[in-house]
Amino acid sequence: MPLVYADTSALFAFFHPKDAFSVLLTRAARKLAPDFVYWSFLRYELRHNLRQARVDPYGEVAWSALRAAERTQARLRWQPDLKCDSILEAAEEFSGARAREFAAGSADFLHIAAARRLHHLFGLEEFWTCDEEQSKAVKVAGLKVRVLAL
Amino acid sequence: MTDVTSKMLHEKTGQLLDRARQGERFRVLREGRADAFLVPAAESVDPEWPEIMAEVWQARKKPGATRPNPVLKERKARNYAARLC
Repeated sequence: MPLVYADTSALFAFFHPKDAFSVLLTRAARKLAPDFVYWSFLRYELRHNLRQARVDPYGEVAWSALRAAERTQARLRWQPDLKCDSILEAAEEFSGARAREFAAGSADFLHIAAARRLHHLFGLEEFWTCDEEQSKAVKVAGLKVRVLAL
Repeated sequence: MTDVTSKMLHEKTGQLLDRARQGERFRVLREGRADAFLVPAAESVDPEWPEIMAEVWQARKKPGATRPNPVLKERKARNYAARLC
């Protein structure tokens, strides 16, 4: 299975059936059948947003699917090489060089730094995001990006 | 992942099972097409996305409006706040 870094905007849309981008994510995932990168910051951000969405049956369905995916070894592929401290350092470095060029926020730079680290280690298929601003910074970081735009 | 033909699997079943027991994984090809995988029994076989996502994809078909992506909403709000300062 190809390994894809889907940022939290994309993974949320993948799991939540009524997210505005849900159709696009499902279509892309059905076509490529990827495994997704998973690490501590991404897990925290995704769980936080899905917890807040647990206010109706759709949110519950999304939460159950996430938990089922987390029980696998491959579909959400845990990355032991992504240590928070070192990724924060890498994001700081990338921000220092490029922060003023993009409207992307601090968490966006963290995702890019993590994806870049993995790409250097063993190659990533693509970076998926629903955020067009972030995608500009992803391209500059030398990663192949897929923007799921409405 | 090592490719083997269905003929090899038939002729060398014991040998391939021994190798699988030691951790090797095989893709079984028939007429050049991948038909099956042979993986060590100790290795758990993960469900594919359609199995994991069945309820999500079913729920998506139900009528009802879609909602804005909360992650994008948060990012935009943060950027807007930063520009105000």
